[in-house]
Amino acid sequence: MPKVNWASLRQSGGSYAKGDVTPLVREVYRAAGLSPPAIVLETGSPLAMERHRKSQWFTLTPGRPVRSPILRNLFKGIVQKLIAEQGPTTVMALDPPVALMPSEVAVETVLVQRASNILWTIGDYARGVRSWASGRGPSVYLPYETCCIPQGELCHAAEALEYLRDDLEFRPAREGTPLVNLASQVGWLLPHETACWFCRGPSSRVLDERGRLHNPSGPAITFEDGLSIYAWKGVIVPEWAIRDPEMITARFIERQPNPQLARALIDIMTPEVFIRKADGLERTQDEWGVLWRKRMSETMSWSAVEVVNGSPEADGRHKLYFLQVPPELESPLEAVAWTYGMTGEQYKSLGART
Amino acid sequence: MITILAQGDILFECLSPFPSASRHSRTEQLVAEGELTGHSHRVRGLVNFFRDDGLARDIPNDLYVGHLSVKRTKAEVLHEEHLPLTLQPGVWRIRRQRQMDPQDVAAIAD
Repeated sequence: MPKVNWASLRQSGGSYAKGDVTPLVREVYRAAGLSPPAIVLETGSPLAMERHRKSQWFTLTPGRPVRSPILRNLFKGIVQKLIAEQGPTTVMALDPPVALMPSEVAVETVLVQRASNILWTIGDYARGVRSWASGRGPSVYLPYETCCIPQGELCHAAEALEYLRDDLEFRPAREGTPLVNLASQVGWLLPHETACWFCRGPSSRVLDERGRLHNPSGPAITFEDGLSIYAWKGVIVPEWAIRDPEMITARFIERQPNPQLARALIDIMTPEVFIRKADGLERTQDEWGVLWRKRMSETMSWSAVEVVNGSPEADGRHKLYFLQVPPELESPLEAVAWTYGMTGEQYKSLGART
Repeated sequence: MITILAQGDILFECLSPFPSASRHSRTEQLVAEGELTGHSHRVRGLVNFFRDDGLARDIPNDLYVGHLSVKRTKAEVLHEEHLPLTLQPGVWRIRRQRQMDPQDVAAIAD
């Protein structure tokens, strides 16, 4: 089987192999020490997956979610064999500083270094395992996010297993092969004891240079069933905010309980326009610029500093810039200094700005 | 007092009036390139550009661009939309500007 580029799969979507997933899902269950599910269901998107699970819950009686056992059992088994076979010497050879840690942690740390974001995944396993262990009763409907193995996590787990198996040639990691094969065909997995839902990867995805979902002119992610999600610099926003940004009003932003969404909408609208349209802004001015602050609620404020470009335009005028800054800054000097990672005192020694 | 000069989203701090002893110098050095406009901050003069994260521990993550050693004669920083800046001989530390993002803090690269 050709090597999968996990990073590319995570970022582009749409390049998934199309094969019969049912046997792969069953193999993954077996590898994790679980009985294979009786039913494996394909849906067009993660949302459809959850809708189907909800609507068919009492008909299918899928049992408890097995997200944590699948991931945790596979990794735990491999890590334990790794320690038994290789001992701490191998860990030291991989990276001397991690050898000082307890060996299980150390091996996980190596995984972290290879699949950079897997740390939170491992933390998630631990949390999931605890909730699994304390679960009572045969079938409890748990929220989607606690049951689902999302695409990023599936890819990270597969990448880490593949790294151990192929790059480091740790034989025990071969037990993870079914998961690696499954991750090359499946985007999202919603595994339960007797039923497992899955959907393929997204049919399109647009990311910014920092790898966040971002598309200023259309959906940032779409799925086979037509589900489209709009996002701005990693924040999910309503479709109309991208399709028709003129509809964003200062009043709508001020009422937003979600600070990230409020900041994303201001970013789309531009801070300059928000300052012009919003009511009740505090204004502080000094020789370094103008600091604008808007208190949205008891706990949320927004701030931007207005600065004049040091160089004139062709017509002799100087352009204004609005830079969003932390709301706790007190003065324009502090705010401008912050944008360069300095204190006001440090920035005061500015000799020239063009 | 440290001399500070700024050209748009790039800031230069003069750390020492004495250039470093490196023999590897260039007559033109690209310092930063804009992601949106394609415009760039370029230094013209006999300079040596290097990065040493150990010398930038007091700078927030992602703002450190590098160090620039300006030899003997002064150097000029050029940009399509900004007036030139003059750097005197010495060692300069370069950092970029940032702003709040909807999710967190992000460096600016216009």
